[in-house]
Amino acid sequence: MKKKTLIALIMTLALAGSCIGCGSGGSSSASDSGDSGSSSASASDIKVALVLPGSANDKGWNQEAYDGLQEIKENGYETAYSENVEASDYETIFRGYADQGYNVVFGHGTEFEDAAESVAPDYPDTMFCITSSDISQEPNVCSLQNLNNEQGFIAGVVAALATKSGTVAAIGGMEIPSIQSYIMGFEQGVDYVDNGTTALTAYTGDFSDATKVMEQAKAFIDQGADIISQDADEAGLGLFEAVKDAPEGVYAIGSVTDQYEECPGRVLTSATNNIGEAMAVAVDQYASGDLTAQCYKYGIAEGVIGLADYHDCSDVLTDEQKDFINETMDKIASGEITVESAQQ
Amino acid sequence: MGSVFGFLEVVINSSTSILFGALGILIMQLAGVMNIGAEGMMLIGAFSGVVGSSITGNVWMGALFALVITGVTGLVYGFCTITMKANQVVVGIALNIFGEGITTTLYRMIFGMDSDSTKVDSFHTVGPFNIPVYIGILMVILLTVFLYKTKCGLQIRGAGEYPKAIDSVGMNVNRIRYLSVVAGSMIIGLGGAYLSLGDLSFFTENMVSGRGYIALAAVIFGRYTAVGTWLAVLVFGAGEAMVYRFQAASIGVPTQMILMIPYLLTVIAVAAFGHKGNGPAALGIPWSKEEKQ
Repeated sequence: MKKKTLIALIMTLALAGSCIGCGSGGSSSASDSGDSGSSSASASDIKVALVLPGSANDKGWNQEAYDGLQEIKENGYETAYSENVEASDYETIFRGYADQGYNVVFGHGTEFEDAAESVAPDYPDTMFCITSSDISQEPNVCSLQNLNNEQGFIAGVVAALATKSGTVAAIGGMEIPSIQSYIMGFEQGVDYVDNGTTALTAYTGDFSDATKVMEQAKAFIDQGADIISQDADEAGLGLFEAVKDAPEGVYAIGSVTDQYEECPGRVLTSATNNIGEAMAVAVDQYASGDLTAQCYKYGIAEGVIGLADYHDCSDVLTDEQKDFINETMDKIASGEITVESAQQ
Repeated sequence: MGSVFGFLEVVINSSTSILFGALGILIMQLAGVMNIGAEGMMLIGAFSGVVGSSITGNVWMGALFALVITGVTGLVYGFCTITMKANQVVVGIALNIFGEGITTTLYRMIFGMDSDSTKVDSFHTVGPFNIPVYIGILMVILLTVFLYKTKCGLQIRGAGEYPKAIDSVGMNVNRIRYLSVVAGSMIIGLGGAYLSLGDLSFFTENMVSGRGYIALAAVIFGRYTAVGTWLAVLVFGAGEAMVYRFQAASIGVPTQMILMIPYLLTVIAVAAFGHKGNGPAALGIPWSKEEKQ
């Protein structure tokens, strides 16, 4: 009997143990430096770490940063990342990387601000860089502010111009500042066009449940919306399933990356948010000694926020409308239009 | 009328995966084996369904693959809880964590880290619903008959209610439990496969998002009957459908309040109807002939 209990215990432990390292408890995986040989000697000495609040494979916000890190790795830097990190572990993980001598540590999202500010004074040799934030703390906390509000704004402008029914919609994931900014921007974009279009918005409350986004999109379509945008990471893929089965004339607007391939023919365009590019630039700045404790803003003007190709949905908008969109983007870039944000 | 039908369609669509999960849990629990691990089993089902569909290009082969893989998972679960008599809550939780880890890891290994999703063949719709929706409703009827009108059903319930009686007439309690666990796991796995292959046609990490736990609550709320469980699942589905409608209608109520509806409905329903604990008496207690029960 005792032996059986022991085996049962070992079995249970083995089952539980087999998931450490891939579970949600904040798995980390360090990778070897991808020395390409062509990079300068200084690059290979610089170690860059990325801490993600979600899954590196979420086809959205986190993946964008992961792809940015891959680019940084290709540039010859040594990289490592931790994903699915819980709020309670932010500080511990920051300290862990700093102790291991990482030069630049990215915290991917507003939620990392407090952890960076409290850890930074103990590690003067490490630069903590927070994305989707505007904090800075001398001498070693900086931030990269990707302007989600501008991203939502252009999606709103495109939607309002393209709609035939006069109703457009945007679906957000969790109601957090970065997503709120997108939704707020979307509403402002629709208002800016000022052609009587109604903007409907909703949040599904999480970033992994694609079914919810799909059902929400279907409810919007029933409500008469014919252009629908999303900012819900992996869950946002549900939008394309809803649009696939929708009547003619209903289109999706993708976000973060060009999501045309998710439903060819029904994706009007995508409002892109290339924060990974901004990260790569920041690391290069660090290498040349130019990265200082300040907030770097990345919007349309910096080329981080933009609009993807129209692909074969090009005829949905007239050339005048496309020109109007481009002019609007220029105006945002030049500061002529200011877009309100949920983040201050 | 159109909007009423539209609403019902959403209710049934969004509750079908939970229905499968709940029916699978029901069979296992009636036989006396507690299953906290339905969340993990559904994830494994959702993932293996996509893998099967992706490899063969046929959604039915995908569903079959999901059934086989979750059946094997059930066998392992049965081995831990029935043969080894490990604590069923602990094994269930371990299974949930394992399910999330293994599906995430294998998903990345097989489909890579591309920013495009991998689309596979998915279930076709007949009339207003996908084929599995009809299977789910049929299963509610068949299970009710099976569990309450057949000898086999009586034996399963006996194994969970009073295993000593089953044993005293010369039947093998653990064999009945094993069969129930494997069959139940396969049905749960089908629920997962419906999630990834029903309305959607891809897998996302941790896509089950708590449905396994809701299914467990539905079984208790449904007082351990198939029809009761179905009604419980529909209550939750109605809550979900209301969330989508209210948000789409933009009635000015804060999002957080609207998102609360399904959970609020469940809490109210459980508080109102679930007051009597009428689960199987031997639930969670491993059977052994030598020991006094």
